[in-house]
Amino acid sequence: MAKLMVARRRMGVARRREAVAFYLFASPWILGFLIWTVGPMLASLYLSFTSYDLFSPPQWLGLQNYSDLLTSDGTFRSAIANTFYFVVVGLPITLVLSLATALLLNERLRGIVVFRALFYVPSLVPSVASGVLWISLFDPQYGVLDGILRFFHLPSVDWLTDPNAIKPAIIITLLWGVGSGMIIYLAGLQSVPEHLYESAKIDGAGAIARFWFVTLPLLTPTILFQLVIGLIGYFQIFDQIYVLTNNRPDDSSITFTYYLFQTAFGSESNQMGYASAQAWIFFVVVMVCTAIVFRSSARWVFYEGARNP
Amino acid sequence: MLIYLRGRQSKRRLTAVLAVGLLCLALAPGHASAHRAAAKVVITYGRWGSADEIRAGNALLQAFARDYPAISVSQQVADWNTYWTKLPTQMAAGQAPDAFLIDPGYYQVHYASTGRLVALDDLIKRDHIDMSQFWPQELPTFRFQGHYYELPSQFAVNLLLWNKTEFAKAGLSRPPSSWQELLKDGQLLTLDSKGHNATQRGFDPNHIVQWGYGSYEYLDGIDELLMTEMGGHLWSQPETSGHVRTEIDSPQSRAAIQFLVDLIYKYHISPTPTQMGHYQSIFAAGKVAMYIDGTFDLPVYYPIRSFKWDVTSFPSWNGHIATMVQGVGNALNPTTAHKEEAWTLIKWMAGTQGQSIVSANGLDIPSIRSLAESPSFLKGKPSGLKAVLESVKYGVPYLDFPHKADAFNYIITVLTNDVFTGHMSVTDGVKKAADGANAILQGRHV
Repeated sequence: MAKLMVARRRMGVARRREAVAFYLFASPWILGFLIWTVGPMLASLYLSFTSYDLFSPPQWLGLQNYSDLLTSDGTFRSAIANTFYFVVVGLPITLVLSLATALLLNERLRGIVVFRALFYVPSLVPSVASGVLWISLFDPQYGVLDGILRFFHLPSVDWLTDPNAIKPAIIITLLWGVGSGMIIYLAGLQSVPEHLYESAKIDGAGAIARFWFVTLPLLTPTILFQLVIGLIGYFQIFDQIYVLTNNRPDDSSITFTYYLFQTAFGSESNQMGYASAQAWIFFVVVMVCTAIVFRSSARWVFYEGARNP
Repeated sequence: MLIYLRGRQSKRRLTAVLAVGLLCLALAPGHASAHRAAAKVVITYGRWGSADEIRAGNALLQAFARDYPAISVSQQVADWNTYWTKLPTQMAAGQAPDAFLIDPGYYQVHYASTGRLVALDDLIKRDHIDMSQFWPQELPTFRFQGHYYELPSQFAVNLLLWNKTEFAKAGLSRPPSSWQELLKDGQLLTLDSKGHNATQRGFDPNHIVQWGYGSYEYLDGIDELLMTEMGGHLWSQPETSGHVRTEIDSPQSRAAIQFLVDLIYKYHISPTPTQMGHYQSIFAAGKVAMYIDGTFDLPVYYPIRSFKWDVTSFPSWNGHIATMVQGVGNALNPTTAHKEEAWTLIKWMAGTQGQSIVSANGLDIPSIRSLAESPSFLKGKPSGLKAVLESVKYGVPYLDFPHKADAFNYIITVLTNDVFTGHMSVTDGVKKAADGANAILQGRHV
């Protein structure tokens, strides 16, 4: 009896020590998270109910910032609409294109590694640098894109100044960076066990059936990952807007994060309260969309180990 | 000020480099002079600027260091856009520079009314600074509610650059003095790839190799002035009415914008904004024969060797002349621990010595009028500069009022994105600009 108690106490001491060690090791992160993330978030939640210009003390406004944003602010409406355009149009294209590239580059060909590197390299170029490059590619007179259009006798497009063309143009620049998604798909593709393909082949499955019934289901965890990362990435689109619109987006190109930046730092009176309210609406929108994706994932994401008895 | 509008502003972040450099300098003297170095008061000075302006600013501070060895100035520089996002956050954190450059035409009211600038009247009186030595046209700029918040630092006037070589080739001997002449000359100076000018039969507007006239979108340096010349206003007069509105949609103002748009799309003597964007400096590249710019940009043109050029004053409309005169000034931080030293610096910069050095590099027009008009300043400058300085008396007031910067930004976005690209009619464009800007001026979100 006594022996057992000592043993139990020892275990308790060991466990507690372990817990202390855990918290000690994790404390830099925990402290950083509390001080630099949770603290500012709570502060911004409070500020979102105030008018605050960084200098005079915040003045309580109640829900006015939120009601202004949701009812009377046309720029905010445009920012929401444009952001959703990028998510709804840009994200699926990005997902499909990076998967297609990965499938092509998964072929066992001579020198395939060179191609993999070539397709990956653009995603290493900083967005501002690639934005500057794209400005010249989009040029209606000398740009490569319009050269292609001219070749097919299609009318020239003012990519960056035509309000109808600017969003597609920005998506095109983003597609240039499919390399990072491609790499992750490639890793996913290579982890598909070879024996599944073999047995599918024996059962008479063709290339399309093999892709549809073997590759795609086994890739769904990767797709989920790409979807969530891509969703948040598209919601936060900023650099390309800043560069391609020459720091002057209008109703056809302004996005959530850009408008937030403009309100907080680009306006004469630094409307931090109003910007905080935007940030919280933004946070809720991204949270809800991510939650929907996660919730739905139970229906379409297939984990190989999970269904094994 | 107007630099705001220029996409080609370089975004050099020299702050870090300078900070390291100054640190090295501070450490350099070694043990022997360590005691003397410790007695030095170190103050910080904040400014925006292009590479040329920053080089000139460094020369200025070196001269100050010779005159005042006990004060060491650490300069913080940023490009225009970064400057206005950085300064308020520095102020909020209590880390703003001791003295800094302010654009009184845009940010003064907001900063002065929230207590972020020191009213300088007592110091001006105490040190007997003669304010009448400065250009009278720029002094109202530095006042808010009857108090001075800045001392003059740089003075800028806009002007018309003209390519003398191309003018001579077209059989023209002198620059235009009115917009009507500018249009006529511009047609003779616009050439297509086959050498036809814009007045000749067979002229092909789709293959222009040289335009008669060009400029970047320059709301307060061109549009506002032409509106004024044609009897309109960009802003209702702030000094007489309490609440300012934009009057860009008045018939006169609209006609001014229409004329400028017509130069591009009707007369084909001016490049589209996209065509403009192909050049770092379209005038220096010899692609436009006339160009409107500010005196602050003259250093860009001094290195030109391939053709002869000169400057003249802003063109008139039916005998009415308006011109842009804009001063920027240095302000003091109310929370500075070294108010006297910071004041010494900005006083010196506004004084004869500082102003002589500023203008010696060809970058700025001295704020002290007699210096600007002196033969020693005009020597070696383009011969038309004298006429440009004479046009200062037609200066449009450069005044700030609440929400001006945001309203200005809104208008310029509409004009740049919708109107000057030809995507929207001038009538629709100025209405959109006016509706949005007027809502912003009332403190609303649009």
